[in-house]
Amino acid sequence: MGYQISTERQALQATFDIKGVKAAVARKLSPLGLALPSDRNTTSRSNDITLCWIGKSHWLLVAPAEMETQLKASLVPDDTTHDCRVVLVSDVFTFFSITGPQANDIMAIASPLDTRPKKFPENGSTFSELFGIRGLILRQPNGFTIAIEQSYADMVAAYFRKI
Amino acid sequence: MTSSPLRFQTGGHINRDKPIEFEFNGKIYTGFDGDTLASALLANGIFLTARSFKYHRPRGVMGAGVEEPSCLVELLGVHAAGNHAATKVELRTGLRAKSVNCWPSPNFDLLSINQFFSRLLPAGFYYKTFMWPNWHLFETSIRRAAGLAAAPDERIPDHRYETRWWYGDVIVVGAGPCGLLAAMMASRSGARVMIVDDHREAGGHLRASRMIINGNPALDWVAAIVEELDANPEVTRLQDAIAWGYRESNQLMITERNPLEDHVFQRGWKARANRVILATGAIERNLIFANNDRPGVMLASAVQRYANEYAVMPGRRAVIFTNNSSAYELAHDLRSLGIDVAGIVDSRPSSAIGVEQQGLDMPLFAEHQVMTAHGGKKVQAVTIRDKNGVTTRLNCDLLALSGGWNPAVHLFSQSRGTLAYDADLASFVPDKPSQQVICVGAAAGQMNLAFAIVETAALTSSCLQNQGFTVAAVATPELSTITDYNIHPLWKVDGLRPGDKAFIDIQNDVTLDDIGLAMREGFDTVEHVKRYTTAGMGIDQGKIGNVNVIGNMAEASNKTPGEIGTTTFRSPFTPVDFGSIAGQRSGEVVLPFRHTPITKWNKAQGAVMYEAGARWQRPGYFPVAGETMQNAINREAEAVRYGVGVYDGSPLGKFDISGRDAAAFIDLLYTNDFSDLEIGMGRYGIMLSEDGMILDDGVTFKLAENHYFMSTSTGYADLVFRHMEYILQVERPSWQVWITPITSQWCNATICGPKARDVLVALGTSVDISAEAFPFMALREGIVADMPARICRVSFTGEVSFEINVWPRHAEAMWHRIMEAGAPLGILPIGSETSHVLRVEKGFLSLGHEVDGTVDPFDLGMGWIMSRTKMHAIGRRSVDIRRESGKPRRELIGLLPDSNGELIPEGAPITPNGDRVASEGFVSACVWSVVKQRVIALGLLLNGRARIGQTVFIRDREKTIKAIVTKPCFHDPQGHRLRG
Repeated sequence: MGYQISTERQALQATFDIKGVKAAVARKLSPLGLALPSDRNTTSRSNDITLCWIGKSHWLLVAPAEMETQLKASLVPDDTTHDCRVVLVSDVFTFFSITGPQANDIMAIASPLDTRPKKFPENGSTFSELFGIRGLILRQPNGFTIAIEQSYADMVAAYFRKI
Repeated sequence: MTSSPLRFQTGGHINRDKPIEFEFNGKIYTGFDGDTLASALLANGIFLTARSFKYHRPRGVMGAGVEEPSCLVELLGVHAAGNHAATKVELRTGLRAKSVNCWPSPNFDLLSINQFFSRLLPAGFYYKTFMWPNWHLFETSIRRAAGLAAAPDERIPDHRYETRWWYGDVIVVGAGPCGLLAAMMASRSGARVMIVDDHREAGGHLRASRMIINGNPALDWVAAIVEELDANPEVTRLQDAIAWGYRESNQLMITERNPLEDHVFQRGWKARANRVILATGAIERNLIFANNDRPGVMLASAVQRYANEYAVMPGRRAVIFTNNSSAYELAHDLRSLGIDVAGIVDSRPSSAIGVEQQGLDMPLFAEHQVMTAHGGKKVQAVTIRDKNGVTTRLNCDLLALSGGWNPAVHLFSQSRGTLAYDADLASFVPDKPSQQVICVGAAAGQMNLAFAIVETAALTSSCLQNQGFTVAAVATPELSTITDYNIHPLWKVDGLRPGDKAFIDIQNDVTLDDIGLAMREGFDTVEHVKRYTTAGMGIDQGKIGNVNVIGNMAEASNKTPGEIGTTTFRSPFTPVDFGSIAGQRSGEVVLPFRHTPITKWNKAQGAVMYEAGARWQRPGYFPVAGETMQNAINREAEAVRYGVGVYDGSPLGKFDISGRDAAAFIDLLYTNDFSDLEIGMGRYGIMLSEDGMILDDGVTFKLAENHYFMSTSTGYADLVFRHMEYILQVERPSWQVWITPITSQWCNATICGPKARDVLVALGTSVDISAEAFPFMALREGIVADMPARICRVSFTGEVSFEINVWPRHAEAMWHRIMEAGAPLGILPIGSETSHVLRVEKGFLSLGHEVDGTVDPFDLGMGWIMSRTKMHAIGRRSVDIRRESGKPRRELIGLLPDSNGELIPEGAPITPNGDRVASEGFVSACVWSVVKQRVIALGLLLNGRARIGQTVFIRDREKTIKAIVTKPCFHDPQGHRLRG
């Protein structure tokens, strides 16, 4: 790798796909002390939990793996009777961190997303193209976190080896 | 001169402290750092550098930049590549190159014999001559003789190409005086700026001139701006980079040939800005006279660049031929350098020649034209003629031409901006923009640099202010003498005779006669002339010749050039490496690929892996040492039929569907009823598209009220997702249905075969797996091998099957446990080839085989799946309307081919009596059946079900194979085994 960056495949994260009516989603998440992000394609955080607003009626909740059982119990992912739906998708995604002084260069190679701060703020989160596939992009201190469908993880790792 | 015979001892912008050896046509020469291959060859006195495309005429260097039409070279060695203009190849250590389109050398080229038959080879010759009996008989030979450089024979090393995106406020293309000024103003305003320039150093035309700015050499002014730009982190400055494509939304495609980073060979940029400023300058065009292609005939601007930038004088006695004032700048420079100029031949009348001639003590032939150039492999003299027809011969070894200037409007035109003909310039200029782009300087048709700078400052200021930037006034640089541009168009010289080789497109060997011929034959629009003659095609894209084509067409048809119009300017503006477009997508990642948690295990077992839909890498089969593919497949298939096998079914598409209207939604999607499905049970369904053709098939389980688990085929999962989202967002927006793709949330190990239940027992499970408690098409959740699992009783093999679905975090462990538990029972992993055999034996349909976008369920003998009570299902109405016509359809059948054990290729046509006539069906799949111990096939045949028992004929290339039509099921037609 020719760039001054560090990439790391992260361990499993507790991840929940949330779709539904905004008010219902807010009610569902309120016990966690988690407010909905104020703007689309941004995140809100509470303790170790990150909530990404990724679509009109679509959110993704990400937390450390050890919180999965507790969150599952709280969010009742099998409950389909409300105006929102929560599905456990922890295994769907593989997370990578990209950190270092040239992390922006790597993102410019990997994704067409305009990561200038005024376009993609500190709490930015969005799905975009990553190495030709769909992936989630989040800012983190000194770089970015990306999440891609886990079946593509080896391919993304191969890309990191190339650049 | 130094040891290089034509190099000045001083001057130029080359690094004389760094000599570089290079190889050209097998010989070693020396140049300097800062040279191009072209300048180094000229410095070494190498003028004959190539042969022409069609006639194999001797050719040399004509230009000095992207406009070079004739000196194309093939690069050898680690940088192997074809068709690079020698004027754009930077000299570097180890460079190896050779001439194109000649054998064995440009000096002695066997195909130069073509010159003597040139009268027999006019435009369109190939189309007219090689028609009988068949063009393809001649095609190979003609293609071998034609063309330019060949693609490299050997795979070149992985050069680490890279592509990246860039976003900003302003992109400036061109780092000449106007581009630099625009970039500086944008930089000072606080904008994020990219400036792109195709030369190694900034300065543009200033690098080739001896201009003074603010009392100092012009390059001092350039250096100061460059230093200022480089100090601003918001400015990205790319040198030796070509902007070659202009896409929608102000996106420019750029190739950076020599990035600063050592680990990147070339970099492709996809750069997008709110505003684009095109300061691309202008390209000089040639003049049309006999033998205007001889080595030693060059563009005047090129001679000036070689003299001033590279300290190379490509001749010892020059003639300048012009129809405009700009070439006089070269005359002044040559005078300063002490070069002998035999004369300036100016087609303009004396009255039109102004101050540009002042101070020149050399012969000036006003109202004269060059009739012909003399010499074979190098120009030796020219014959000029005055307006009365009196001719004079001038000895020279260099003829510098200036036929006027064409604003480089290529990128502007690619942006869909319109062009207009400017009679004063005798060329086309930018007219109405279609995107947020402005043109400045010569690119906008302003050939007076002093005016161009003032206009650039005003336009850039306005452009920045419109974006909300504050622009400080800039001091206008003071320039040394500038002459007004003045041109009298000369589309061709007078007195040309038929047969004179007066080339209008040097690269494609198109002569003025060819243009005339095309027009006489009725090709009277510029696009038709282009296609008939090839003028303006290829990698040259008519940079120096196109406007001459248009001018001559206008003259011949009594129209104005504006009425003739231009051809389409296509990208790339100049040739670029494919690698710089593909970027890092090469080698292992040339195509996207997907793995399951079992992929590593599969590879370790020696599985033959390949893509099996939706980019998933799957094992095709697992050969043991010395085993053929067919033997491996037979062994695996027998394990499933008579013992037990397991395959990794993880790639199957999977969706979690829930919500108040989920049941209604499922009913809308599938042709059969799902509303009466019990919780814990599943049903096979077929999904149609609006046209009533099968879109996908799969099994959907009911997990709870208004909660479903849908599986789809692997390759169509994304398409099905899009289909479902379309229905919800467009056709049923009021419905409450939540769809979550969970393909990668669940991995699937499918245990199949008569001993499958025994394996599950050995694994240990909390689920009652008896046939009574856990029937076919049921789903149970429980513990398997101490892991949480979701078990589905679905079969794609025709045998008892248990799909063990677990989260990927458990998948590898589950797989190992299955292999351990199944080992005493002889369990084998099976690949997708084996699955294919098993499903063909059973007659199960497969998307991409029997389902090819033209069939409905009735065609496949599955009318039973079309609910009689649910007429609103998507596609149902289309099926009914189509079938009401009563027209015969192709129907699914089985085939028992008489092929002596050979497999028949999928897609082989079935024709009446095996004749070479329209087909009546085709073979959709053909395998060796382990249960039938013979070749079997499935196919679609016109009225197939009514023809069971008949013999049909399959065509396999030149063979005809008889086959008996059967029902499309060869194994357990009642389905007792899979329900067991």
